[in-house]
Amino acid sequence: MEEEKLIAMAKEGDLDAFNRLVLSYQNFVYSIAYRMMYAEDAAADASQEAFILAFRKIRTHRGGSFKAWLGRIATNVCLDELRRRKRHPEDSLEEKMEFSEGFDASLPGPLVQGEPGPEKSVEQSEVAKAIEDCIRGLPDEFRAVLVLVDVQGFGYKESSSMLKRSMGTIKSRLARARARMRDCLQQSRELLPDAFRLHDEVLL
Amino acid sequence: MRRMSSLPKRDLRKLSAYLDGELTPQEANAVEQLVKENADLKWAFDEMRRTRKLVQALPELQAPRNFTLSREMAGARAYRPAPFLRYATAIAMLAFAFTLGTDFLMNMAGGMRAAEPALEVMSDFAAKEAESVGEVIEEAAPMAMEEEAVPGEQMDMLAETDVDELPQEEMEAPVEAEMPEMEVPEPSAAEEEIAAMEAPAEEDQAAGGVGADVERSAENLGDEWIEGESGTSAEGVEEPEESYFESQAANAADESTGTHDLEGAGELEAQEAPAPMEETPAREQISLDFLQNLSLLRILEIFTGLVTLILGLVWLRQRKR
Repeated sequence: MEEEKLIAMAKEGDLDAFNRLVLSYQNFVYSIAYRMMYAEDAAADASQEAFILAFRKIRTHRGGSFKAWLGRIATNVCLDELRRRKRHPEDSLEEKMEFSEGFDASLPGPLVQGEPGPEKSVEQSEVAKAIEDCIRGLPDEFRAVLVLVDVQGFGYKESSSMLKRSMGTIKSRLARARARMRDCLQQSRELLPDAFRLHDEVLL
Repeated sequence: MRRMSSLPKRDLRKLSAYLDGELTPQEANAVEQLVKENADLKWAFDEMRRTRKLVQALPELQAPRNFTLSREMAGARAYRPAPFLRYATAIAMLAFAFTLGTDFLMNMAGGMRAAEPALEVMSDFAAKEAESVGEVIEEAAPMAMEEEAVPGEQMDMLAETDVDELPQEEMEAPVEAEMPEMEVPEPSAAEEEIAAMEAPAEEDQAAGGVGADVERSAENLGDEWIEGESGTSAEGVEEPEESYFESQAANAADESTGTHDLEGAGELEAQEAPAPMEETPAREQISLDFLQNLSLLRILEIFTGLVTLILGLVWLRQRKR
């Protein structure tokens, strides 16, 4: 069934239609949530809350990209949660401990779609771990822009709308996030494939 | 180790935007030229492009579980009551509140009148109690009897108080016709005129008489409570039109008296009859309207209350679903 029809049915209160949309977008929403929070339980909770909010507010969706609309809700749920944790750091002790143990790409949470072979899986998981670790080390606002633009592929304008920030802010934060990512990944350059290997000097 | 983040933020922003094609053609040409000419910028641009490729290569993650919503999760939104149901509930509530308010106001307005029959009953009760007291009542009773036995005095008062409105000759005939039926209350100074005006109403006069009896006995007893009650009952005589049935009875008495006068006393009485009759239809109409309004209000209250209850329950049930 077409997405527009499911959305229209969901707007009329059809929960089954909305749940079909959920199944289509749950990986997308969870990916945003996980890369915003880097804690599986928190990401799952944020994803669930985002879908609940989306269902309750679906009448406010006035056409356009449903994916971007959903991504906006998910991003804001995550940012709100991160702000809440900063105000009440005692609430996120469990996540702190999880962070201190480092990111483990082999855990069930950030499973990579597709089933690569064992060797490639280990290689990819190591590279992915290095990248995810670097993303996780970014400030929240930088991370949000990087995830939306570079990971999820949204444009500047969409990201500006989703994060409620000006285009100039998006450009600036994205540039600085990329620079920080490059410096972080440089520490793990031996893990990177040749085509992606970073260099300290200009390649001639 | 060279750090890209140490480069000027302005250059980083332009390189990043250039990489994403977010610059105007003029800006893009300028940046392209700079990248060709400046080795640091070229290095930064290449590193940024590789970094972006690495991040873009990240796969979408697999959700650890399904996030489909249950009915409970969906909460009120799943079966959100239709707007008309909410509006209907709100309107029904407003109508119910309005009818309640109207009823309350009418009761407030009518409460003073409605209290009168009750006070008369209380005065009767007080009179009976006073009679059972014994000697004091025996002293009071003759006094009342004396006054009842001397209706001429009352007649004089009636004539005097009505002088302003009616000629003396016109007043005499109807009063004489009504005399045998009258019980004369003890007229206090402030109530003489009112008592005279209400003279045709037998029940009123009876109540007044009882009130007078009670008052007198209370005075003798020095019982403040009885005095207060009798005083109130005496005031009750001022507005006999309060009670519909009372006024009906009074009206019937007036009508019968008037008819009797017409039959027995001739034209003069017939001309006088309208004088006491003027107030009665108006009083009756007011009381009738009041009762009609009251009953209509009750019906409206019950109806709007039931509608509000039903709509509210349906609305709440749908919200819970």
